[in-house]
Amino acid sequence: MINSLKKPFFGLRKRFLLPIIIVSILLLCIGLLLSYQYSSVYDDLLEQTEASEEKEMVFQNIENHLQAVFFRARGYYAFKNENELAKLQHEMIELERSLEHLQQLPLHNESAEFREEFIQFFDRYKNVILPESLDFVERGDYEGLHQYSISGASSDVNHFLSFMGQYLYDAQETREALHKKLLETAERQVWVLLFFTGFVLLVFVLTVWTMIRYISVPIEKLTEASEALADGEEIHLESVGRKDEIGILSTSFFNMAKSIQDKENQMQTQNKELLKNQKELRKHQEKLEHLNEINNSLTFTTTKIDLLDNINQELNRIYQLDKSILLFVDEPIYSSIGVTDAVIKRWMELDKIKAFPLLVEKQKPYIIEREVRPEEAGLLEDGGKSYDLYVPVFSSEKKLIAVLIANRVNRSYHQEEIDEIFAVMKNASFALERIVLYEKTESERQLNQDIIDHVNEGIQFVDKDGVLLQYNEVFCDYIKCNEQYLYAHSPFTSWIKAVNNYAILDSDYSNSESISAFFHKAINNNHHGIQQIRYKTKDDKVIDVYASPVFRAKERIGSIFVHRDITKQNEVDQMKSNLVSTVSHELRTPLSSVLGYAELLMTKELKEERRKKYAETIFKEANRLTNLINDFLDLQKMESGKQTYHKERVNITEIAEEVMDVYRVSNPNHQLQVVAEDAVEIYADRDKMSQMLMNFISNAIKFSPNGGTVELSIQEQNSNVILEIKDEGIGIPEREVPKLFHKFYRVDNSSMRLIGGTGLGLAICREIVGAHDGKIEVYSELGKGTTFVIHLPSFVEKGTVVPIKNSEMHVDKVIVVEDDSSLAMLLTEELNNNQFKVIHFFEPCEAMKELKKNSADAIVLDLMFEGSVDGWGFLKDLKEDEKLKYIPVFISSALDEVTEKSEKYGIKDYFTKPYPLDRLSDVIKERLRNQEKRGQISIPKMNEENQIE
Amino acid sequence: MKKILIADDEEVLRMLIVDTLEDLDVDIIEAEDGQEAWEKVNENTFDLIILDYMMPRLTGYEVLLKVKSHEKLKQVPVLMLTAKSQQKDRQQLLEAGADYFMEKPFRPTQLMSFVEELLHD
Repeated sequence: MINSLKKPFFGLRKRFLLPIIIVSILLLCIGLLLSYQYSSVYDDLLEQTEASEEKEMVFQNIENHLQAVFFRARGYYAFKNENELAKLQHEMIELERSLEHLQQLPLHNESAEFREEFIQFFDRYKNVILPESLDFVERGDYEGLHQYSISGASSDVNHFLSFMGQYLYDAQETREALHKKLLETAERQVWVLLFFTGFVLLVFVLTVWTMIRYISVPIEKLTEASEALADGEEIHLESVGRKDEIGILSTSFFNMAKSIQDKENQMQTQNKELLKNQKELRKHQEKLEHLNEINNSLTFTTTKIDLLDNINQELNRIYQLDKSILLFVDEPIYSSIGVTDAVIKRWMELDKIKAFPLLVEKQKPYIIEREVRPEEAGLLEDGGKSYDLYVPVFSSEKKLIAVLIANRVNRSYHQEEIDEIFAVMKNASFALERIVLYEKTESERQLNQDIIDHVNEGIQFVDKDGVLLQYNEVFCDYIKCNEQYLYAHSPFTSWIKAVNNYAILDSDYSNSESISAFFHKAINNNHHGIQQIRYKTKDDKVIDVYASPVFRAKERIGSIFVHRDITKQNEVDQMKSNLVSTVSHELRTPLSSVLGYAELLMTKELKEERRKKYAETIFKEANRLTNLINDFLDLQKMESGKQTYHKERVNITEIAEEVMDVYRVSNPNHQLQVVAEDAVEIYADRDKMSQMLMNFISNAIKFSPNGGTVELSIQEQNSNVILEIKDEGIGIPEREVPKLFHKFYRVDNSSMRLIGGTGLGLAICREIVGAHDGKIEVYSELGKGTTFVIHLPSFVEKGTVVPIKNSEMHVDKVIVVEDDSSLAMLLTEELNNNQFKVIHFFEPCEAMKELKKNSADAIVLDLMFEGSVDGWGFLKDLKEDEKLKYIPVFISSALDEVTEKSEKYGIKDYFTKPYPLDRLSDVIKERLRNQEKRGQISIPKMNEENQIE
Repeated sequence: MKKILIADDEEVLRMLIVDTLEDLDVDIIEAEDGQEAWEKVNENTFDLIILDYMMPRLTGYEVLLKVKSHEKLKQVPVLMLTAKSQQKDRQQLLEAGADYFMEKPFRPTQLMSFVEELLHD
């Protein structure tokens, strides 16, 4: 690599660097030569010019000095000024010096001749002419001087002067020629320089162009190629065919690119392979995940259907099934994917054990290969094969319990796949058995919980240590488990605390000191037997608790506590006891008078007047006793609903007048008024209306002991009749008003102690008004009087709107013959609710006796009786009786129907227990309505709801 | 003369008792209810108090309690006349300190001989 790098470097240098160096040196030489040549020519010219100028200057000086010498000499001549003479001397010296200079100059021939002549002249002038001239001056001989100058001295001088001028002129011309020549030389030099520069430029351009062509262009191409390579584009591999650096560079670049491309291709291939591997790995992982899901589901699912769904879904995902169904063999439970409802229905209806003989026999999965049906083909053009895989699930007893049917179109199953699926199914079998067990346990537990939850009593079961193991909703309701955060497995201390928080011991009915003590004792009681306490809860419930130890195989396992809500019962007891004591009191008071006065009459000797008074008292008190008993019995009758009202169209005004008339006679202190229209009619029982008004009027009179007006007004308002009884008596304290209608209630007020009465009047009034669909209002002000307002419905002509009491209607009488008392109670209640009058008999014989006395409209008959006569015997007797044979009979039996017998006795309504109770009343109603008591009956259809067990 | 208080809300019964005891040499004072009885007990010194059980305002039982919890009055014998004949009621009266009780309907001769005997001592 290093060698190959070195070589091209020299090659490129050889090609470019050497020529450049050679050309440069050449150019330099030429340049130097040219400049040298020109500088020597120029120097020559310059020297000539300088020599010429020097010579000219020297001549000039000489001329000047000469002129000055002549001038000073003439000045002296003229004025004999010594100063002028000194200056003349000075100028002479200067002139001599210039001449010496001149002598040093190299001069050409002519000039050299002139110089010789001039030097001779000057010597003569200096040595001859001037001294002679000066002599003339000193002697003052101007004439001689003048003669002398004319003789030639002056002409020499002048000659030299002109010569001098001529010479200077020549010198100037020579100098100008030289200068001109210098200029021409310089101009030529410029041209040569220009040409040379152009040439250098040309060489440079050529060099640059060549470099661009040979270096830059290939480098650019390489750059482009490398960029393309970097961008991952395809590059065209071509050799430039050069052997220099660029060639080698491009060759090696392209080699490199090629190798990169090759490697890249190789890497891509490897990458693809890796991806493929990875995909497979992922697939495998997914499969593992799905299998894991299945395992989870097998372990934790608690319902069959969830289990089936989970397994089916996961299998579907793992093996990419087109359709699959996982179904139970002997239960209609399944999970399906992609299977149509029709197919599912078909499977559900099949006898699955028979449908899979192969599975039962081989106990192994198998595949059925078949042609693809058109609906399965989907987008396939020419159909293909469809593969149904059947995989069994066996129980541990090798019984077929479930089957997986999986379908794939055009993809059969590898043995590996089948093995895997079969393995999953084997695991599923364990899970299913576990679920069955779990469901059984759970359903039993739920059943137990349901049973105890639906018992009316609160139940709690605690173990030997007092830990609360189980309890029901009712118990929770009594002691408010939720508020108190009480849960199963609470220890004794925590639940007893909860109980104590809500319960207060009723010590009158309990033998225990405290609730805790009772529970504690009961938990530790190892003997059979029941203990009991009573407590009151914070919401005023009265609850009895029974405790009983629980034994399993003679071993004590805990205690059961039953909390029974006896609030109602307790209230009834309380009321009963109050009533008894009140009645006893109310009866004993007049009885005391009667007996006491009678005894006085018998034992004492009394005056006639006294005797009469005693006898009257006895009569009055006995009457009071009678009234009391009558009122009491009336009220009892009304309250129990046994009072019959003979309602008719009555004129209430008329009744009011009659009542008033009775009281007017005996109460002269009161103004008794009736304010009413002549005839206001209502639909009512005349006697009861009269009784009611009497009670109100007598009360009004009694409670206005000081007399006053008692007004009874009657008016009709919006189909209501309103009776108002208003007195001006003592009034009733507001707080007493709500208690007014209670039995034996008398207003606790000292001013009323004189007022007699049974204490039942208003209670009776309330009952009567209630029976007439009316209502009573009371308005009272203490000391001012009381007003009772009674609303009763008006009489409606057609009578359809008037509510008619049941006692007025014809009621169908149904005889129920049933020996099970609770069932009899259920039947009675159901029939009562449907407006039947029910008479129940435990024995068929008793029922027959009643029937012979008073017939009935229908008979509900059980078939199984312990006595000599069973249901069929009863029927036989019934059908033999001319009067009774048409009464329809409805059989209610636990036995299945025996059709022949039913036909024999014309029985068409046969209810096999359990059956829906409402169905029975419906059928009876329908029969009685449609069949005119012909005793023909049809079998009703069963209804799932509201069955009796 | 011995003083007797008779408290009963029934006038007829008060009259009966008054007439029964008229032959005895006693001063009889009547009260129409428990409140009046309590007031009269405080106003007079009685040798015997006869109380009906059920009376307005204050019941006989309440009057009994008041009398028997009063330092000075508790010595006075109290005869309760009651229509309540249950064991429970009797127990209650005895616990409250009733000295005697008589059930309604009572026999006037019996009452007379009882009072006679009591006052004679």
